[in-house]
Amino acid sequence: MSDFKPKIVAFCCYYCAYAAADVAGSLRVQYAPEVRLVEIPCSGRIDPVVILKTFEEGADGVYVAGCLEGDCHFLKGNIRARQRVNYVQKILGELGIDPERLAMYNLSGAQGGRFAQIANEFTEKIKKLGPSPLRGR
Amino acid sequence: MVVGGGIAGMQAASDLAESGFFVYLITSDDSLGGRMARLDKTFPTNECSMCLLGPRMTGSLNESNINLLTRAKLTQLEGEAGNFTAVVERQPRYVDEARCTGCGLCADTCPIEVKDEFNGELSKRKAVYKQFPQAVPNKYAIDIENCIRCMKCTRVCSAGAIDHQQQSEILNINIGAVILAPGFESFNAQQLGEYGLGYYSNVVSNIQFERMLSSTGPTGGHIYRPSDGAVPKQVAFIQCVGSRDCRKGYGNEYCSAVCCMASVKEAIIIKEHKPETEIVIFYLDMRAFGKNFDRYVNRAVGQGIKLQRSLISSVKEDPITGNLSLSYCDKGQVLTEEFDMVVLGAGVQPPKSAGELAKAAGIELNQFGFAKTSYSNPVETTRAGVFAAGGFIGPRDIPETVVSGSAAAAAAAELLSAARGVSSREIKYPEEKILSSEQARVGVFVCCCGSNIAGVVDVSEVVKYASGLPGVAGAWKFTYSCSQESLQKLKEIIHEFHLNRIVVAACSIRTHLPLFRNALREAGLNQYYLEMANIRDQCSWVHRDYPEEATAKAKDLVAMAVGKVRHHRPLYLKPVQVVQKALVVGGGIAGITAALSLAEQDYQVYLIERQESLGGMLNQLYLPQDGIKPRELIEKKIHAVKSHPNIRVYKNAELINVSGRIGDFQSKIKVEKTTIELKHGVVVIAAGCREGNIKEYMYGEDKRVITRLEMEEFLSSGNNSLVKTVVFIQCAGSRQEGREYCSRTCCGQTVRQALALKELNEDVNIYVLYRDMRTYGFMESEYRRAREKGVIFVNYQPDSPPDLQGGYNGINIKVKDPSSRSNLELTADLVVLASPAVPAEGLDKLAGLLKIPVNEDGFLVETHAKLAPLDVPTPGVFICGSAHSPQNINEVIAQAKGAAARAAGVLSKSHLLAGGPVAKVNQEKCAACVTCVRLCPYGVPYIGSKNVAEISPVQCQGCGTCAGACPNKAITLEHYRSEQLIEKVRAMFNMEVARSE
Repeated sequence: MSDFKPKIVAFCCYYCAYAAADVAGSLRVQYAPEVRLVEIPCSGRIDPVVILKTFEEGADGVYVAGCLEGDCHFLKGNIRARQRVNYVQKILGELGIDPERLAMYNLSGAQGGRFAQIANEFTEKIKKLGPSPLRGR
Repeated sequence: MVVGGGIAGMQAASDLAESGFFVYLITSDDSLGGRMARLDKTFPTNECSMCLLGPRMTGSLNESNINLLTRAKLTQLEGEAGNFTAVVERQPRYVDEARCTGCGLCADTCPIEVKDEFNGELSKRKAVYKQFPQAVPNKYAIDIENCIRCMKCTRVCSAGAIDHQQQSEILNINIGAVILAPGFESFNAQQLGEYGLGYYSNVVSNIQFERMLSSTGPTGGHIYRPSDGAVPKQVAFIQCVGSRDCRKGYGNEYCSAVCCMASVKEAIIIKEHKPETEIVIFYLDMRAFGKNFDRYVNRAVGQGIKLQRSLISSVKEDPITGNLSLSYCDKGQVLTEEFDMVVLGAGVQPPKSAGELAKAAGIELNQFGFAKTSYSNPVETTRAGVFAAGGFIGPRDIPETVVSGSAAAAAAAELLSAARGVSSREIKYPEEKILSSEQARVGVFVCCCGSNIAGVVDVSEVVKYASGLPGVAGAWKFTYSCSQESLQKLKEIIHEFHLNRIVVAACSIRTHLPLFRNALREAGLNQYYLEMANIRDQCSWVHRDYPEEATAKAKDLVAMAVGKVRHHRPLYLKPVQVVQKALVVGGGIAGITAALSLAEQDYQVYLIERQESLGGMLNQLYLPQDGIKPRELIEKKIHAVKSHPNIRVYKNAELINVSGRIGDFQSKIKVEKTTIELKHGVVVIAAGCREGNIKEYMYGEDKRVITRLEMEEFLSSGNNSLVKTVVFIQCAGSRQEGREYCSRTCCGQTVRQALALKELNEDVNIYVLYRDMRTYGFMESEYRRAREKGVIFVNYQPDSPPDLQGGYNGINIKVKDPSSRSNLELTADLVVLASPAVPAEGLDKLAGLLKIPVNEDGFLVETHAKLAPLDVPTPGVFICGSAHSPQNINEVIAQAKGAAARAAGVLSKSHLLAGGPVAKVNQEKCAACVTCVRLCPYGVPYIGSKNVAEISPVQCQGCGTCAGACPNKAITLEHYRSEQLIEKVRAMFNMEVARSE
């Protein structure tokens, strides 16, 4: 299992998560190289179809990262995102995919360290879960 | 006219151009960039200085309302404010700028090598040369003094750009105002022979060291000892070299204000390169007085960097090993330690040209040789219509330099408001090619960013991989994709290879997207046919130890960008009207200054203040600062506000709601019991700060313990006859857990108060218990004067703070003096606490209304700590004053004027462009379920007359919440359509599928 290199997709909002990733860069905080970032203007943009498609394509794990709750650049987009993530987690369970493979995180645009910590934590979790059953279908 | 091409000059020029003025930007250098171009990284983010500067320089060159003249000097200024004739002498470059392509063949063939002053003379350059690789304009120049006229360069230049016969020219330019920003110089530490610079090869100056750290510098970003090329294991920094030195001919009396942080940054960067390096910084006071500075210093200490308070008297070299030994005093003992390398924290001083320039412009200099400006208007010189900015006013760091550039722009714009828009020019882009029917031909440009990316990621491998991706017509590698040269090449390649989609794999869209979008427009492509892959900030920088994985990730990120860009559609922006009025929140010195500046620039201003009177903190300050009495200053300004026809003041007013967008905000303010609605195009937040509560040092328990604000009142009352001994305690409530910052204004205020006490009664005993005296800049003179007058300064350590006991005869204070290692016992009649400056009440709520983030200390967070100190992420909102961070009055005034200049950049336009990546409704699919109406955070969608949802592209903020929720997928968020996101993800997983399409 140790050679398993998961592919993880992180949908990151421009104002906080993407900015935090840049801060992690400028502080040179080192983190797991398995995460691939997809920038979206607001975590509220994410929709269930895009998440499910991402799993279908072969992602071992997906997370959506938005601003801190109450601090969304677009007011409430991140709250909607969380609801949708919860909803897709249910569907994943029904499909026989561990709902743990999908997560929602919140962080501020200044939290470079937190961004790295999330990437490490989630990568570790997916490594334990092993390859997605949909992978290489 | 702006004189000086550094960061201050560029900021002033771009703010003025943005506000509708035509600007001549002249620099005596060959390139823009100034001093900042020599720095490797900037703190606190440790961002590459050149990466920040690159887009600025390119932006200044490309701005149609800026005319850049290099190798040009202002020699005479005739006429008066509003109507000057500037005489400018342009030295020949001997290279025709219009013809030079920057290819560098001339420098390759040139036989003459001379010391490169740009690299601190640590390397050589040719007689025909480019100042530095990213120079803007990207043109060569000949150093005619060293040229032997062998004509080899003339023969090799196929563009025929070399012209040894070029003559200097004299230009007479008619202008309305002048901003002088010629910058500063480093103190030449060779003047201090005891440190051995120039004699001992392993002693270098801080600027030389910055060049060594730079990937384009003489050692390619590696730290080697100049004597033997070994990697140093022990490095010492010596602070205050040529600063805070009263001896004639040995430097300058003032504090250079930037060296402490520069050395801490350099030390942290050494640690990044080689964590095992032992570093000691020898300092007198650690002057980490700015926003987030103390945190940065604490981080350095946490990384094992040792800070040693000690003045180093000399450096001695071991001639065999080249090692350097320093003797210093610690806890009463003299210790000697050996180092491989010594870096001198050399201070700053006025540029050599200051005298000549002052004479040409007809202004006076101050006693230190910097431009003489007034405390109440720090950019105003002694001649009307001539302003000053940046290091020319006095030592300051990058953000303050940027602020002063903006402030000078505001001052010039106030003067010239009638001429606004008269001589400005519009940018004309080539007509866009209509491409919607053509197949995608993607061009991929992969950036090395010097060694920032290429040092970790195998860039050639990424280029090779990219060229094989479906839809890709070609892939290219750039050393610096943001350089002028690369942008030109990008445009040429677009034409040559008929590219219609572009991927730039480089750094962050947050900093560089506008630059590359502009390049696409200039090449006749729709600017939305671009996608960036962030292979630096989010790849090479964060996976340094895994080059293979980083390369794999970079390939994926490029593939993903290609996958998405193939499905991009052209998007167009529509002009929308700007309400040319401003809302200024806060009626203290910051808000008042910003309001007056905007009003003078002929915009209408609503000024709202929570309290029942204007003036804020200045109402409580009595002692004059630099000859200006704060209360008199504020009273004068309040009068000006009240009598200005363009300003409407609301007192007892609170902002309760803001909606709308840049150029068209609608705000609700509560004034006592009524609610008023205001329409405006920008918001300036100037909410200030307040004195924080103190729990320590018996405050509130004993009436003889007062705060520094209470001391101001005490001094104004003149009732000090009973006071014989006064003890000031610094950092009471600042620089501690939970409030890890410096309140900045206290040390200077304490020194002023101590001097005022001495003036009233020479016999009063004054003790100042301090951690670091942070009387930065010219305030150092006051600190020295206080010591001369007999004020006793005693250092204390945070782990053994002064201990106070109330007694009948006074307050008994015990404090441990680390230098004498003895316990000092004092009895004071009065104890003055340097109370902390904390964010104003309700600042968090205000920040929430305007979506401005606040930092851990509760102050507002700017867009960029260095280059955008007055902007926030919310477009159309600007910040200034102590809501940004604690500041002194002159600094607040500069920020307020600066914020006014930034705001005027928006207000000067009758229309802004809106639309682009916004939500779009497919009316045939819409079932009018009102999900979007319900969910939109801004209440934009509505069900229109056709019984389907309608979303106005002007009002839409582009978050996509509606698109994510629309059950029938009738709404798409342009540029982030589901199809685009899915293709982006798919490209990473299944290239086979994509290829077979």
